[in-house]
Amino acid sequence: MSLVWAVAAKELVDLSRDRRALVLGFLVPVLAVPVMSLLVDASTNRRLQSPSRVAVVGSPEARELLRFGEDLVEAVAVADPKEALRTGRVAAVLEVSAEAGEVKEVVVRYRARDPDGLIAKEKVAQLVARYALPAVDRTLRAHGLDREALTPVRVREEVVPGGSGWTGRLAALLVVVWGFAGASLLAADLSAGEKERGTWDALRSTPVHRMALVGGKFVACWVAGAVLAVLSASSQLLFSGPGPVEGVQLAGLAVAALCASAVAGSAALVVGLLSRSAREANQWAIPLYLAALATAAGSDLVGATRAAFAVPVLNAFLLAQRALAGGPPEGTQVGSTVLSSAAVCLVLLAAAARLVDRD
Amino acid sequence: MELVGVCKRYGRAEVLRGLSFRVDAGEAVALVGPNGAGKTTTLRILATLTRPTEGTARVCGWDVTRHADRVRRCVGMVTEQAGVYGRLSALETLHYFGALYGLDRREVQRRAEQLVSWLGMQEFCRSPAFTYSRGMRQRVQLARALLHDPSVLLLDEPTSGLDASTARVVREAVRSLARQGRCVVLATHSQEEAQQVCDRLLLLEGGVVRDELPSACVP
Repeated sequence: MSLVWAVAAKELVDLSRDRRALVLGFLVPVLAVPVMSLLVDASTNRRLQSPSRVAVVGSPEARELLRFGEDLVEAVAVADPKEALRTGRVAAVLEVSAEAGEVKEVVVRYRARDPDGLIAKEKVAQLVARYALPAVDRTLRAHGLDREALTPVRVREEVVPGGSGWTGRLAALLVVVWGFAGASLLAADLSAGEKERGTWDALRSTPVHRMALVGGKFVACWVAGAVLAVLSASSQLLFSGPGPVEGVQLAGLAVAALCASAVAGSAALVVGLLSRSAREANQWAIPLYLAALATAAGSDLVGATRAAFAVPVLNAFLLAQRALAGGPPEGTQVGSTVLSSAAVCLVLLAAAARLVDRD
Repeated sequence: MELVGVCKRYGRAEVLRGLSFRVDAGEAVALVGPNGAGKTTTLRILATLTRPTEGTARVCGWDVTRHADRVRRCVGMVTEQAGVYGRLSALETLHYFGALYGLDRREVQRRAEQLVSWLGMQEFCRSPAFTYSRGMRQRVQLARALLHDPSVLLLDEPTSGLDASTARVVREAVRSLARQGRCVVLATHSQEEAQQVCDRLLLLEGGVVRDELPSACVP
C-alpha cells in the first residue's frame, strides 16, 4: 500500500507544480463555466422579454391584431416570408385571415427546434388572447354572463428571486463531464505521456508490483477528477443554483464525482497504456467522453430505476441529479452506485496492470 | 548473466536470431553494432522490459521471464532517451525511485548523497529537471540506476548526444563500476568508446553475435 501512496504522491506533487494544467484544469471549469451559464441565462431572459420578430402575411386586419401586443411581437417587412423563416431572419410567420373586418384565424409557422420559434409561438398565443378578449366579453355579456363566471379558479402569480436558471440544471451533467475529463486527461499523461517523455522504461524496470504502480497513478487521477467535478458543480450551483448548497447535496455530489472519476480514470489508464503518446490516448478517449455524455443525456429516458443505478456513469449522473434535487439519495442507490463503479474500476485496473509489461 | 539461443520477433520482423553470450561479475562487455543490430532489444530483455520469443536469459541466476521481479532488484538500467520528470529535482527523483525499490528513507538519503557527490551533481540536484542539459539528465539516470546498488548495470548508448567532457565523466563512472565487481553491459555503436570502457566486445549484426574480441585486440 505504501508503494501506491508513493506513486500517487509523486504524481500529485508533479501535477501541483504544473501551472498550465492547474489554470486550464481548475480555473476553466470553476470560473468559465459559471460565467458562461450566467451569459446564457442573460441571453435567454433577453429573448423572453424582448418582442419576437415575425413576418405577417394576409389580410389588412393583421395590423389591428398586432396593435394588441407591441411588447410581444415585432412585425418585420420581408419580401419572401418562407425564406426569412428558413434563414432565421424572423422567428415565425403569421398568416392572418379575416371575415367581416375581424380576424378569424391565425396560422403560426415556426421551426420546431428553434427556441426563438417556440418563444414566438407562445407570444402569438398571448397576442391572440388579448385581441380576442373584448369579443369574448361582448359575447358573454350578450348571454348575461361575465368572465368571472367562466374562471371559477383564480391564478395569481408571485415572482420571487432565485431559481437554478437554464444552465443550473446542468450541474449534475458537469459532475460527470468534469469528473471524466479531469481523470482521463491526467491518466493519458501519466501512462502514454510517460512513454513519450522516456521515463516509462525506468519505471517499469523497478520491482514495484504492477498493481501498485497502476493503483498509485489511478489514485492521482481519481483525486484530480473528483476534485475538479465537485469544484465545478459547486461553483455552478453558487453562481446560478437554487440558493445555498447544503452539506447533504455536496456529499451526494462528492460520491457521484468519485464514482464517475474512478471509472473514467481506470478506463483512461487502460487506453493510455495501449497508446504510444498522450495525444493518441486523448484521441482514443474522445469516444469515452461521448459515451459518458450519451449515458448521462439518456438518463431521462431510462429513469431512476434500480437497474439504472447499477450502470456505471449513468448511476453517478442519477445520484448527482438526486443530490441536487434536495432529497438525500437512498442507501441502496448510493450502495449500488459505489459497488458497480468499484467493480468496473477493479476489472479495468487489473487489465491496466497486465498492460504495463506489454511490449 | 547468460543468454542462450534468444530470439525476439516483433510481428514478422526478427530482431534477435538465437543470440547467446555470457557476462561474469566484474566484467564490462560492450554490445557493438550498427542500428538495428539488436543491441537495445538485448538490453531490454535483460532488464525485463520485453520478453524473449524463444530461448532463455538469466540475470544473477534468475530467469528474466519467470522471475522478472527478482531480476529487477539486481538490475539498473540507463536508457538512451535520458527521460526525467521535468518538474521534480534530481534528489526528488532519487527519493521516488528509492521508494519504488523499497529502500527506507535514510538509506535513500545516504545513497543519494553519495551518488550526487560521485557524479558531480551538487550544483543542480535541487533544481527542477526541465532546466537540465542532456548531460545532467544522463547523470541523473545513472544515479537512478545505481540507487539500489545493483549487481548488473545495463547502459544503452549512455554517451549519445553528450559533449566530450561529460561523456568522459560517464565513461569513467562506468569503468569504475565494473572495477567494483559489477557486471556491466554497454550498448554502443562506437567501437572506440567500447574499447575505452569495456573488457570485451561483442560485435552484433542482424540479431546474432558475429564476432567476440577482447578490447585490447580491437584495431
